[in-house]
Amino acid sequence: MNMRTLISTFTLVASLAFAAGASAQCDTIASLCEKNITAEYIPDGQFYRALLHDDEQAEFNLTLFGGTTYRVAACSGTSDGNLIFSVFDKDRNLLFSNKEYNNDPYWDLVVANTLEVTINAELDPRRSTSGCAVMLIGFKK
Amino acid sequence: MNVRLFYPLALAAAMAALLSACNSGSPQDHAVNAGADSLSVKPGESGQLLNVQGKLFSIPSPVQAALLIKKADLPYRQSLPLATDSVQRFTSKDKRALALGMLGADLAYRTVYKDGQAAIKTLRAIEQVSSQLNLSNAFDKELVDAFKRNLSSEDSLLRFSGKAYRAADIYLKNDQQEDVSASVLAGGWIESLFLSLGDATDKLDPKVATRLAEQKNTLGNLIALLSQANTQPELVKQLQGLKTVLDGVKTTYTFVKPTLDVAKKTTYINSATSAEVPPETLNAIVAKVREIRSSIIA
Repeated sequence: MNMRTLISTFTLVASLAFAAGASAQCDTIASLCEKNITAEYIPDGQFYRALLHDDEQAEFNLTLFGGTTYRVAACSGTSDGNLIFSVFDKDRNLLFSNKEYNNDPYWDLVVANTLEVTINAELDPRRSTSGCAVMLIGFKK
Repeated sequence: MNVRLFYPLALAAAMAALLSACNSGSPQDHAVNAGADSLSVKPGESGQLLNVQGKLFSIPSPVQAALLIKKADLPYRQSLPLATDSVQRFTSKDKRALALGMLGADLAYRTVYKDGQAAIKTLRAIEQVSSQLNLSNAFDKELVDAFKRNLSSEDSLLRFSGKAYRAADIYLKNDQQEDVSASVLAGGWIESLFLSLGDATDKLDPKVATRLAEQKNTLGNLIALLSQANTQPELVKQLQGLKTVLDGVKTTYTFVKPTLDVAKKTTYINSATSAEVPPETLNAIVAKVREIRSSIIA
């Protein structure tokens, strides 16, 4: 096997190793983040995650139904407060951002009428420059 | 493939398999690794877990639909959900994934109507289908037993099923089976709509009609997810037909400034919305939903 072949093998293996490691990282964060969806909330059954680097943002699109209280939990890394999440309506009006509240890892949204929202998640550059962003959603009965 | 290309690929595949074996836990194992250190992400490799051009989509939980049906006081129709003794009819991976989602919606429906025995049968059917999809650790005997022990607590049952479906979703996404994950969501969504229509003799409840009209965006999300997975072209085509019908729903949105209760960590979203559905559009939506559901179980 020549040097070129070795390099390409190494690159391929590194990429695959990264993908496997990233999945494990997201998995761990999801476990830690689940504590924020407390017993009063029913998990929505889905797992949202994205790998972020520097100022990249993940965009989560969802419909919030009227008459429902949602809990949004957003986590990255193994401690709270690494992830900034902001909720916008379809006209990009800001409805909430945890940035103003110490990057709180969870927040409740009481929705009067059904609306489409986008949740943008980004790493707080003061705390982290890369990592897996995990978002979990629960709702009250 | 020439030999020069084969060696690195073979070596990479072997090492990747080894790494995968180290990292891919069972659906319920993910809690065990909670103490692991976080991993740095290298430049240029970020975003590879993102879905559909950097966007992630959420599909409403079937539990929400079941709760709405109950709230609207619709009569319980025991024969509407999938027959639990007929799940062997789903022989392909794609059909099984759809069935798993549908059974999740049926489980929520039976649970909110407190039909415990039928709910347990549904859970057993879920166990059977999930095992065929290699997801048996998310829906194992332990879950069935916990379900039986808590039959009188609707909240616990809904929570159990939400957690189990999330565990399955985590496993599927970590295992790069996004296509199966999307199909499970699609099955749950279609079944939820189908259950909310009641049977042919039921008059459509206005709350349910409004909820149907509010599905336009969700349907767009679902089509995006399924199109990316590219394993259900026929279903995507049918859903696009439904979307054409839903485009006939007129919606309005007026932004109202949210209010905050910082002590309770709560934001009240007060924006006003409305959805106007002409009767012929509503009838067309109902017909399309029934048609899509029939073709899945055919």
